[in-house]
Amino acid sequence: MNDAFVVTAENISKKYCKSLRRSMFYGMADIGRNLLGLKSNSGKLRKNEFWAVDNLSFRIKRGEVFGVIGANGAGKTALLKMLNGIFWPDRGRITVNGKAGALIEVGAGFHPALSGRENIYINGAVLGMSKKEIESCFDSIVEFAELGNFLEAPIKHYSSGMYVRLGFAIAVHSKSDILLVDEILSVGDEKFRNKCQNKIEELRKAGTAIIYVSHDLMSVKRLCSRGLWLDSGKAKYVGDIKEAVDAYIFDLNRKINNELTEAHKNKRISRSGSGEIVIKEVSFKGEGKEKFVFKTGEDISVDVLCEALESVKNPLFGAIIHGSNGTYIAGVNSSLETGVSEAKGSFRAGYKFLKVPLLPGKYYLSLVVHDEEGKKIYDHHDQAYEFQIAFSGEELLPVYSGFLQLKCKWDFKRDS
Amino acid sequence: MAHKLRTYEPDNCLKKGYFSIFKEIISEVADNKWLIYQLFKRDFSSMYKESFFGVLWIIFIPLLSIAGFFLLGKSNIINIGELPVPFTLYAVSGLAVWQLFSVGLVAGTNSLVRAGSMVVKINFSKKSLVISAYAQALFPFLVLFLVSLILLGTNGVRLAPVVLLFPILLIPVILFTLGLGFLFALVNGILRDVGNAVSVLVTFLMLLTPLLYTVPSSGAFVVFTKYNPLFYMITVPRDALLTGSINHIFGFCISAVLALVVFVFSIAVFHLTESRIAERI
Repeated sequence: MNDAFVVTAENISKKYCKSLRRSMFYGMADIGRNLLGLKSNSGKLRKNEFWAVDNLSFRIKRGEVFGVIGANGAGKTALLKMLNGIFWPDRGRITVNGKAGALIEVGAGFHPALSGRENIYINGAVLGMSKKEIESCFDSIVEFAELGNFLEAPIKHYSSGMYVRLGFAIAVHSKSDILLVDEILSVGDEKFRNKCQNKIEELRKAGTAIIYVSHDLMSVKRLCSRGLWLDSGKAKYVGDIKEAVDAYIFDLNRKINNELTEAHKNKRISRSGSGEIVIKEVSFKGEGKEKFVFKTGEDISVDVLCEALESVKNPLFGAIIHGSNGTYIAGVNSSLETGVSEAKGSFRAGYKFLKVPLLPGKYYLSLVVHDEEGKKIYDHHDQAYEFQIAFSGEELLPVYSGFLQLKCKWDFKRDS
Repeated sequence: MAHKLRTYEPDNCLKKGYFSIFKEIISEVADNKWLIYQLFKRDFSSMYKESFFGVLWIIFIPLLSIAGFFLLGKSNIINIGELPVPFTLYAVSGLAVWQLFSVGLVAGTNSLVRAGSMVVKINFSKKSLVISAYAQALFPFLVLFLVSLILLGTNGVRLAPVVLLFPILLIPVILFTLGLGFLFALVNGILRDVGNAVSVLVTFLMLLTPLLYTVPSSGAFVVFTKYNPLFYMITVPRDALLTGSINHIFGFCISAVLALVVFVFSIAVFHLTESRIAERI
């Protein structure tokens, strides 16, 4: 094996069983065959089995941060567990050149009744550290975890932040050649995330290979140079991380768009209003085609087909955007526009929200038609239409809070 | 920088050959002595840390069994038989050795499942879990052994030189229990029934093994005792302590060989299959 590569995966696959009872039976059968010196035939699928990881090949160099991305259930954790040797592949071969440390779950092995000090020794030992190694970096672990006066307290009294910091601190001090990190940075706060990312960068510079699994695509792009996009256990892309993330986002947005289109077609709208004018059909458009997934800063067009069942003078139209928890974000009204002087029969009302500065997330649109004074509601569809602002991978903000992206020009001057 | 090259592939054991496994096992246990100690400390501290009586429970539980048997014997419900020493000394010393089997087997059997979250998220020596769990049996043994020594002194029983063999005579019961612990821990990972069954079985075996009474002179029970390896593994060391003589030498030797076979077979099976169990816990 080339010494530059610390991990080599060759056509590896792992299967799981959907039935617990059958899984027990298969487990006993495989063990029995191995004990008798027979091959377990693990490369074949039996009833209720499926490939959780299917035919993956890649190599990871020393000092490389390798990202693994994919939707939930894509096989990311199964892959990490195989790379860590927790269980072995059913097909193919993994060669690991060095000590592998895993952070598949922060604090796995912690005992809640024992103190921070006791858990540092126990967890360090479980992660393969000797007594001497733990003692040499004990102060550094305590400092990184910011335990303060809580070192001797049972960790069940720790805040979730302290718990996570302690778990991460022990793992990164375990002097591994390969560190497997599974979605742990999503647990802590902003300060902790920055601290962890700096530590990962520090370890990378020291030659540790890091396999980084995360749904936070910004951090994946920032930390990793190469990566793997997994989809239903299969590699959709292996290579440059930017291309992997872009391809994943494109696919993710396409799937969400298809789901929303399907949901939109079959949706039963709950409406209220007197019914002189009814909203018959609503469609979202962007870049000239119907879609429900947009990017931050993109124009969103909403085309509304209405029908006036009797003649109505000067109806007004309103639209409100809500957050996924129902929060009112913004609304528009046609009162200042030259609208419809008299509505009769079918007609269309078009809205175009320009350069919508919404941050990635799920949003709902409410539509309303009412009289000139706003006293009589003809038709009201409250939070009836879902659309999403998708992650584009080009956002400047690493973490999203709130709903809007504010563009800000900074000006710093020396105070004379 | 010397790196350890590891290869993970299906049926690894078949490719490496079965004979390489014993070298791997010895080196794994030797490399993980510190981990075994830490795991033992973790289990031991956590078990008694949140309890008011703490380690005193180690004495309470066997003393209750002894008191129960003593009362049953006194009221002639069961026949304790002719004892060479006072009943309390006989019972405490028997139960001391029995702890090496009962506590060790239950703890060993449940060791993998109890550490489930760790087993499926960290790659570490699973043998260390079973060994450290077994080590929990040493503490109740030592406590009851100490009580036995005190009772020996207070009853004016003089220790014979053969007592020096006492630690060696304990080796079969330790090996036998560790071996069964490895095997049952594996199977318990797949079928949780095993953990429950072992707890029941241990109590049942305690009643069937002449710990708190002497071997009856007639009946089916005599035959059962004759073929019960635990009888030899427990009573031979106890008799050495109490009477200074080693009885049932043939039965003890056969039991010792059986214990060694069970231990070697079980640890080999454990080594070959532990990664398969990790995915099913």
